Amino acid sequence: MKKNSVYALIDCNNFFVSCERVFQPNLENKPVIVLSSNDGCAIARSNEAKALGIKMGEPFFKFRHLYEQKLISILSSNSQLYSDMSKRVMETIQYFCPFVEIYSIDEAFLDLNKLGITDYANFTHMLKSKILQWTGIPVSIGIASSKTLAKLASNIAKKNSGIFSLLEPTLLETTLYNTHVEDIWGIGNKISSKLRLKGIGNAKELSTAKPEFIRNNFSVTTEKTSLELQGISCIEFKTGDQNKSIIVSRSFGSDIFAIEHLEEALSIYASRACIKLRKQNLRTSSIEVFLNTNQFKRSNPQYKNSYQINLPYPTNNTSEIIKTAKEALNKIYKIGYYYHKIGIKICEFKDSTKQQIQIFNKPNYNKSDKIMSVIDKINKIIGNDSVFIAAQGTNHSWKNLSQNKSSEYTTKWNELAKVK
Amino acid sequence: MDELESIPSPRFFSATEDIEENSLDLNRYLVTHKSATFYLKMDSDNLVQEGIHKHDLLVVDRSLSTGKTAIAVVDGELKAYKTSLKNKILFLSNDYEQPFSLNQNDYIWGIVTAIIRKL
Repeated sequence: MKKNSVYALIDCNNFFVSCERVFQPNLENKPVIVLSSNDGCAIARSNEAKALGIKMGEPFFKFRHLYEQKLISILSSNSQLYSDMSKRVMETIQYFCPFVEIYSIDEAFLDLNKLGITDYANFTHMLKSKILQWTGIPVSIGIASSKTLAKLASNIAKKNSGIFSLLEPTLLETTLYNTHVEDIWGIGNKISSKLRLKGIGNAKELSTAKPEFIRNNFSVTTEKTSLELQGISCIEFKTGDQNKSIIVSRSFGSDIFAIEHLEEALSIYASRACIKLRKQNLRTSSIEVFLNTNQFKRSNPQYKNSYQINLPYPTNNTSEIIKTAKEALNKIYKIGYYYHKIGIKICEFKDSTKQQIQIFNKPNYNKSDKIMSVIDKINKIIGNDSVFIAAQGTNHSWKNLSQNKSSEYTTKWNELAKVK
Repeated sequence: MDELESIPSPRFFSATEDIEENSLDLNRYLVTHKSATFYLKMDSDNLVQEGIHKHDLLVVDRSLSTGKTAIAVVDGELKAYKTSLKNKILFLSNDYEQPFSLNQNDYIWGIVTAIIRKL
């Protein structure tokens, strides 16, 4: 625990929509919706679309009429664009402040205390305008003495001018009174209804509750949240972009029946996950494969399952992980179902720069690392997936529909934005 | 190992191995601010007199605010212009449009720092 810390949370406004608008400026000031990868539901909304009452996660058919009347623009998810733009935003932030924790694709925490500045308002205004100028992405910034409060501040910032500080004690006091427990970072539905039952309805009440009471009735996490709301920072600041787990999964454009096609899709996702692992110099000792049928097609028989396999030694070798992923798939695949989604989750990371002593099954890391780095290099130089493990297949009939997908403006030479 | 067999041609090996720290890197020559640099495709002959042809690849640095050639958003469209200053006011023009200043909703998107054209 430490006092006197100052954190900022930078949150990209309607991130996916903002990415699209950088290259399609005609979408500015108009209602825009980005749909999930299988064109199922709204995953990003412009402010104008929010004003039309379209909710996050709302299925497309519910607002299809607005689209047909040309009242809203609809775009399919362009994940390559979003992840490249995310990288640019994070790099820009890191250019001005090296103490960054990348929290999600569109959020980053900053440790402002470490910067040695006193004028936080001035710095964050400069940062906000630089991010907008360099990348075209508008952001909101919340400033406070703990991460939980910074998150709260950024939510308020989003509704105001874009920057909001909770460092001032009286302002913090009134804000805590006005914040429902449901709106506190880290407080889920279950805990919030239990808190309400115990008479705790707002952030102020949670912050002043007795620690023993919270600990006995809830968990250490909720106790930490309570302290964080008092401005006592106790959630660790993690630099570097080491995620807790890597998940690569997609819904299919058309449902898949045959195991061969599932294997092919799984191999691609597994090799993507391996690239991510190797980029962060990590190995995994555990993988999980999951698959499910389309739960919206109620007339079809439904099935979902997952299977985890622990590897004998940590690895980031694509062919080993594909082999293990297929083993897991074979454990859960059942014939007779139409599958809608498959994915791989990689957890239990080990830093691959620090080799562990292995008595049994000692793998030949050097040889494997060399091959993998050659594959990664080639793919980096001449484009993604130029070199791939044969199991990935070459004819991907199951790929997403992505009907209204915009171009990959920043990742493909033949899809650059055109200027007159 | 299996992977080696899926690498299409052995010449790729030498190509990658040649790329070492000491070689000439066009990225370093053309790009100053990586996270702020975008590539756009010229889709008109509006700036032929400036030496920019249709289909040229434009290297655009968004971190710069002044430069000879700019990308501007005009009426919701990305367009390339040459810039000029008169009484501290920025004017844009091309081979066909007379100098004009930006409207309220228009803005400078980035500065063109290089053009790339394959022969």
